Amino acid sequence: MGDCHYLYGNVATEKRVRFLKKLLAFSGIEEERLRCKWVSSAEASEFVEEMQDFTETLRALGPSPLKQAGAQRAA
Amino acid sequence: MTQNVKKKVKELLESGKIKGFLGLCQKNGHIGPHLFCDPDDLESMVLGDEERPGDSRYPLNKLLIHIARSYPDETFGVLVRGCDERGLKTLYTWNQLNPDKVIPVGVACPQELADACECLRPYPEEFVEGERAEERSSASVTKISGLDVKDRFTSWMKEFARCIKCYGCRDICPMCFCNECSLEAEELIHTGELPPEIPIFHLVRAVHMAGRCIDCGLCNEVCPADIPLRTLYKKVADIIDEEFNYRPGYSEGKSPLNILGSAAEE
Repeated sequence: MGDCHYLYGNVATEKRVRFLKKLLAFSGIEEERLRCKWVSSAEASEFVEEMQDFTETLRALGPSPLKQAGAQRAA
Repeated sequence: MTQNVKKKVKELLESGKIKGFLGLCQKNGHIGPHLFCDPDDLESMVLGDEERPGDSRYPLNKLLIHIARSYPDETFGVLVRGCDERGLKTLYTWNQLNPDKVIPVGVACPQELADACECLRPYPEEFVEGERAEERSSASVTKISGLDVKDRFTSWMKEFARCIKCYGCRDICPMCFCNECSLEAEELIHTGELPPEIPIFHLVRAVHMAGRCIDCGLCNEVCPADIPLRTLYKKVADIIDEEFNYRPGYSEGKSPLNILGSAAEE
């Protein structure tokens, strides 16, 4: 942590994500829909693995409640 | 009920310690903010209790920012309840007011108001009027937390859908002092439709309240659609406290989310 190209960027991000997960949960959006992982540009396989895992998580959760709300409004 | 406040303000004005006192006055049947500058003209001063305790409150500390900017060398007094004092403390940390130029005169809120506000501290550190009421926890937050995730979403969407995007919550908020507001950024916020894009509009504001909201509840009072914003921001404050052990107005120092200065590097 702190060893970031954007100086304290990852420190600020980590704090915001911790806060946001709980705010999302309170607002009725599953906090698993937000994920933060540190992967360097040299770690392609880790990135792929993480994305596949995240995709599975999202698939299991089903469509986002936000998407359904948007569709209702448009209709 | 105002005798002690008037006496204190008279003293402060006569001694020259303050240039003026920002409080509330009743004129023509209405209560509104007023800058009292003459120690012999405090007759119209009220504390803002018209039909019920605290039913006429104003963001006095927000108004004070503007007055202090026009008269940077002068010291002003200001009427504070517990929440207003938390507001002052937080505005000091955001460099919006200079603590050396502000003399708060405190009133403690009656129990009825403390109950209605679910206030964690319904009194300032020092007060000349009223008695210390018991602190209350946030039953409204507990109630929503008790719902399952789908019901929480439905319940908030139902509330947010009534929004007429009047910006009342932001305009009255003593912690909203930014020159540019994300809620007016055309790239982020669509114009010309009601309600605004929900829940994003309200969640953006909730995120910006993190490390700032001092739970005065004026947003909730001013909302023409009765959206329970206070409950949302109470939860925001709870999360920041749980995660970072910081509660604006109660804790010392800057918000853990402040990206300027040393706070960001900790």
